[in-house]
Amino acid sequence: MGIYGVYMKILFIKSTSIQHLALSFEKVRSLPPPTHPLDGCPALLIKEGRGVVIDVLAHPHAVDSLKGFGFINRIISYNSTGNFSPLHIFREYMGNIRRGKYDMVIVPFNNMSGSGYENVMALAVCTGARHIVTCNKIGEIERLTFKDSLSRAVKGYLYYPFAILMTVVLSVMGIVGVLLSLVISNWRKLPVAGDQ
Amino acid sequence: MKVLVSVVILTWNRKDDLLETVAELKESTYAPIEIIVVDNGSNDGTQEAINEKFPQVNFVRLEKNVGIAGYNIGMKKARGEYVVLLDSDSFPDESAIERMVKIFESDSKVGAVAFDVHNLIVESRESGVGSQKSLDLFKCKDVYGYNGAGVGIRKECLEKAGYLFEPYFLYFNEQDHAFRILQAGYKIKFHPEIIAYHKTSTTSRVSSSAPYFYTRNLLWMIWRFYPIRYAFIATVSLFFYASLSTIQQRTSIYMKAILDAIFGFSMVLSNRFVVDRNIIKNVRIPIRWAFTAYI
Repeated sequence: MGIYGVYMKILFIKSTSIQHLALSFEKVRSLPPPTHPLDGCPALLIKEGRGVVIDVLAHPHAVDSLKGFGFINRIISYNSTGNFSPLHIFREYMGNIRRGKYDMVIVPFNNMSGSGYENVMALAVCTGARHIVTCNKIGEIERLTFKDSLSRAVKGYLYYPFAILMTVVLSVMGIVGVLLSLVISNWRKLPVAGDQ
Repeated sequence: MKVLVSVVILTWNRKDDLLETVAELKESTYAPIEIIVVDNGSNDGTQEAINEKFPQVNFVRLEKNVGIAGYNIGMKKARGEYVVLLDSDSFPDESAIERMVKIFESDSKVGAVAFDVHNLIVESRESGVGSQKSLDLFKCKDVYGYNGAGVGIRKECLEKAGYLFEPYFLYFNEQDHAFRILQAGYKIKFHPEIIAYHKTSTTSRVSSSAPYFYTRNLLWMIWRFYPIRYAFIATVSLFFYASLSTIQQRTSIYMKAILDAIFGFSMVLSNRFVVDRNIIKNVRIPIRWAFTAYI
């Protein structure tokens, strides 16, 4: 039924610490009430503690801690200790998540700009949710359109080829640097004339 | 007769927080406790305030900020059988030290007890369990790291596993130390009812030097402890994320950190201490997180 009906389904992606997730819960809770159904603000519903279903997608190590938040309906465990990968998610969970028909996805950032969260943005886009809301390090909320979210995700991934190239250069430089570092440290240890 | 517990607090220009921490320690249900404050060269009147309000505190003033080496100075001065490490803006729940001692005394192979660190900015103190005096040891679980804002370490374990690795200066010293505790054959136990409160806000640690230390120290830690194959994969991953973050965030700080890490390679190599693969597999080092936390 979504925001037009009796309840609203929200998916929080636990992309930051549990403390920051708690901050995100609070900030989403304090969003101003909707002036129009299309705004999709869950504030009133959450404040009254009814009409909202909150699910959280989280890594397995965080599941126990999340159980402490009594208002969470379902914790979807991401079956990997690595970063959220849209490909992995798509293969393993997307059917499940898309079937959840979320009205809103909340993406918490552990920084100000959201830089480095393209994988989480891509994941949020893939859920098919109508509204994507970000919450930055200091709890600033930003509501994004589908187009904005997609653009952020794609833009993040556009840098990858350059980063790969840079990694190759860096690795070569790293090997040279390591060898140099070893040579210098050995050279310093060499006995000088007169040493016993 | 109860054993002495030493509490070592490292501080730098956090007078008010430190006073609160010491005041909270005075409420502990456990005694005897020895409090050692190591001051990394504060200039906000920390020493005068502590001397005036808590003259019994063992105050060690350092002339300059030596980073986590300050903890080592405090730990070496500690006379207690168990040493509790705290940040100057964290403090244990009133029953935490008593509970910690019970866990240490229940198993001599417990090298460290990791406190459940609650962030006071987003969690209230009522979320703790300080009023409950019972301690269900079955709730204890083995962990592979600890949070420096609240941990108890057996002094004997410190002697065997060693103290904190000082070249880090700050960040990743806890995980580094945890690796050595585990490798020395000790366990690190976590119990949800042994609580410390930390006042770190989600914004207070924004620092331009943090990404530098995170990146450099993460590389050093990988090179110090990981078996070669793991170290290679982790290093290339780290180089990739550092490159990506350099482009995305338009900053040179990650490259500077990598450069300095490489120049410190021989130092790290001489301190290399490979840990079992099982330990590595069980530790979740959030490589990417280091590049998304600050900018």
